Amino acid sequence: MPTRLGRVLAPKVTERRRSDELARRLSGLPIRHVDWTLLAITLFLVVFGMVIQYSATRGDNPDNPNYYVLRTAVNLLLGLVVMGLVLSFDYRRLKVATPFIYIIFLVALLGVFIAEESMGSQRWITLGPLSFQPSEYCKLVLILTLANFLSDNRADPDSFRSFIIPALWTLPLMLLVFLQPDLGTTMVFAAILLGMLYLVGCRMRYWLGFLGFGVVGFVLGFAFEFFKPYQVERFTAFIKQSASIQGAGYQLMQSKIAIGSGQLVGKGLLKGTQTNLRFIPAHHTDFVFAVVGEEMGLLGALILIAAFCCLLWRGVRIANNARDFYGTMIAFGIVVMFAFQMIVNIGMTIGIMPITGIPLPFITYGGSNLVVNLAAIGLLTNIYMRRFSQI
Amino acid sequence: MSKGKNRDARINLAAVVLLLGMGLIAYRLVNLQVLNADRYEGLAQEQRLQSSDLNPRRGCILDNEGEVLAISKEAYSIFATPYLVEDVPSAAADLSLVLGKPRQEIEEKLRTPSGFVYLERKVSPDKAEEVAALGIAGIGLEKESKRYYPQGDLACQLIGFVGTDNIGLAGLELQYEEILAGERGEAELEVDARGDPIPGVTRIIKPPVDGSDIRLTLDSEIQFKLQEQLAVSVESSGAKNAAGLVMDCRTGAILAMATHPFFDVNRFASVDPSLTRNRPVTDAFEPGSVLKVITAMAALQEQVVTPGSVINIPPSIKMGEYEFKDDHDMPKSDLTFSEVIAYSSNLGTIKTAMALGKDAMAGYLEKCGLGRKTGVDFPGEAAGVVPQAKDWSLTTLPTVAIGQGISVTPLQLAVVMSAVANGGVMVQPHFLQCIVHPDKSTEEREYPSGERIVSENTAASLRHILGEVVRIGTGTRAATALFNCGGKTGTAMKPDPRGGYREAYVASFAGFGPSENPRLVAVITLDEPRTVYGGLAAAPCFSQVMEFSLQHLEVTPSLEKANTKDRVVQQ
Repeated sequence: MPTRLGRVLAPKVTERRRSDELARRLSGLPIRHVDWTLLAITLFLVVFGMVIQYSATRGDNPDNPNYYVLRTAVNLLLGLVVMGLVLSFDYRRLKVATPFIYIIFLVALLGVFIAEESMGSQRWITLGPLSFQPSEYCKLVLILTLANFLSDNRADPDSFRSFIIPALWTLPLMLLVFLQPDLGTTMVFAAILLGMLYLVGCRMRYWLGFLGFGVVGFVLGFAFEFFKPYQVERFTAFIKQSASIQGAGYQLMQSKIAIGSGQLVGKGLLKGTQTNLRFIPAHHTDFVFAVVGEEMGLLGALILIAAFCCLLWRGVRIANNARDFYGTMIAFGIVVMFAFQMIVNIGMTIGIMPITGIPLPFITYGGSNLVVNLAAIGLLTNIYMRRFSQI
Repeated sequence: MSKGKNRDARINLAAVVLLLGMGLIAYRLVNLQVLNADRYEGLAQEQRLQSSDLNPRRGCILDNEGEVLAISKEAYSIFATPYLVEDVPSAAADLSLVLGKPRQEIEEKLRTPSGFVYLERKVSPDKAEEVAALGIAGIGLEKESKRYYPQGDLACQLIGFVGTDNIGLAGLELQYEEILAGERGEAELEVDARGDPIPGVTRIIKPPVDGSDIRLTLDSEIQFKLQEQLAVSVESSGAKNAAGLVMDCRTGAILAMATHPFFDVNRFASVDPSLTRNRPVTDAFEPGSVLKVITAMAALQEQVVTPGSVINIPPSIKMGEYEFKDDHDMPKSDLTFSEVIAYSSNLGTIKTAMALGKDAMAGYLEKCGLGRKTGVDFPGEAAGVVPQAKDWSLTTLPTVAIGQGISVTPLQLAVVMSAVANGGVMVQPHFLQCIVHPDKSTEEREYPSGERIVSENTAASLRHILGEVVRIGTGTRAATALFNCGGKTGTAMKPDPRGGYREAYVASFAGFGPSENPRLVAVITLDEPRTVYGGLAAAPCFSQVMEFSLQHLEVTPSLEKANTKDRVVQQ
């Protein structure tokens, strides 16, 4: 018996018309069953992101104010192609390919260390005119890998085996990304693992054990000065807010000032003083939400958050209605990925989360990120439109 | 299927957790953007809007012919917003190279936990440009002005100086601060995160009002001559210091005033403060025989004597336990009053003063403005000390009559001498001739003419007597080649700070010229010269300065030569 909420989230099908419905749905192409709401929200978010990026970066490069937006547009086209590819075949076929994909991207992550250093951490691989960030793709790769194992696992989900094997799949990715160093993405991987383990019903003690392991590792890293100074600074800036005006504390304070001064309806697009006068650090990447808060106010921020909620709602709905548990796992993993990134990113700009380099899906400027997010939407769509068993 | 049910439950629980997270974010946003919005808006404005002072141009100080004595030049101050400087060591290295300051010092300043610190005040526009060219974030330039004194040591103590914030701290810069300074304006400008102003959004709240120029009565050429001759006198007499002034006896306009030793005004702040005293105004001294002018003036006006009255000079005068003597021999024992003054006989003067009486003497000291500030437009004027009439003892009258036990400033002597020279009227000594406003309109200063203290006749008689001082008396060295002059020598013992007097003298000469129609008065004082007599030490300086000044002012040389150099009777 599904819970009340489950019923709310499930498509409304009355008993009387059940057979008719079934007959209708089983006929025709899966494209007929696409979740248009999900695609509409995605479109909204992408456009929202481009508008904000334009507003934030217009003043950075007076000779070419459209630089970032044009690049995003190119990435958007690429992302749409990838999305189309992803939903063109039955997602179940990915099962076979997953181990290979996993290995390819693991190698790519290793390759990052050979690639040149950029902005203090190594994240990109450049191939001719293209450069991409394997760690972004690995988010999706991890979801597929874990879904593959967890949905096939015949063992009792309570068992240690059901916990340790997914953990062992995840740890190499976490380690490589952590060494880049990219603490934010490492945390995203951990969140995906924990979320998916939670869904299959992993034992609480393993689950908490993994979490505890992470916390202990973090504390030890702190104690033995394993972290880069800026990472430490960001963390202390979060703990002791407004105590430090320099470095990370400055970033957080500027972000709060920008959002707070946006007030109810904001200062208007292109009119954010803190944005245009470069007070907001990384205003088109990590701190893009501060631009939203300043220029569009509480109203714009809440509309954006509502759009995210809507996206997550559709994701949960898709997880609930997937044809098989594999589909449920993928959809849920994607929901966790979006939700975690969104909450941590927005949270850090308003001082309720420590500062880590986690992007805000669809809004933060970044090619690989946009392509991966669109691929994730493609996967969700794929799962949803093939929710009815078909031969 | 229980598994499925559990999954549903877990998905729903996850959804609830997500909703809670969203709720928390929404709550926090309301907190930031509604409840605390004003505070953050305030912080945003505070760091974005900077109020900036708009400095007015400080007025120039000009001499009586418009020659510039003090002017403000464009300069830049270099400041830092330390938290915006990213690479402190390399910034410090670059800046130390350009500014020529130790790197350590700059690095220290760049690490101060403040939003603003000056790295260097008032550098030249060239240097400022070099700093700007470095393009270091967080380093800014502020336009200021720097005071410059193109005439070097000319009138150094008079002009004074301004502090780094362009406020007059001494001399005429201090006296006329309000006129010179103008009014500061205020502008509000918007700056970006690097502290750079955003062009085009500066809002002028209040425009600055430029300061006005002041034109002095000072004559640079006479000033130069006076300084030159004071230096010569110090050189030849070995005096510790020397002071002098030249004043128009009809108006009180001061044409020159100087104190030796001199220094470059541009270094005012760094010289020994004792050198910066403008002694003719700020330092009172015991004048000695110069004060006999007042005794004579009183005696003549009160008709106690006439210039021809014969006075018998005794070997000494005993008064209580004191015995007064002349410090040099008189040519004969019976002197006319005129000769008493000419030869500067103490005993003759004392006898006259005794005949005049204490009250009359005290009254004339008062009339002559002794013990009171002249009200000259210069800060820190000394009033001098005149014993109160009611406190006078038996010996006060004779000592005051010969200029001891009383202190006056050279400027006070000049005012008294002016009254003698101009026919008996006190003048208001002053430096300011007119104010030249930024729009070039001028505002003349009116100075009230003072009280008449003696009659024209008395003044004329006294001028004749003072002419005799130069012709036959102690002041023969004051004679000039072209002009008849008059004056009085003074050789005063300096009071010992521990009480009594010590073997140190102030030699002085106060006089006027030309005698027929006096135009100028001059007072010269030498502190502790080797040749102690005023007639020997100070009179030659007077002669040089007076002759030059009268010639410079194109005064007609005396037609009837009475006491010019060739008419002087050498003893």
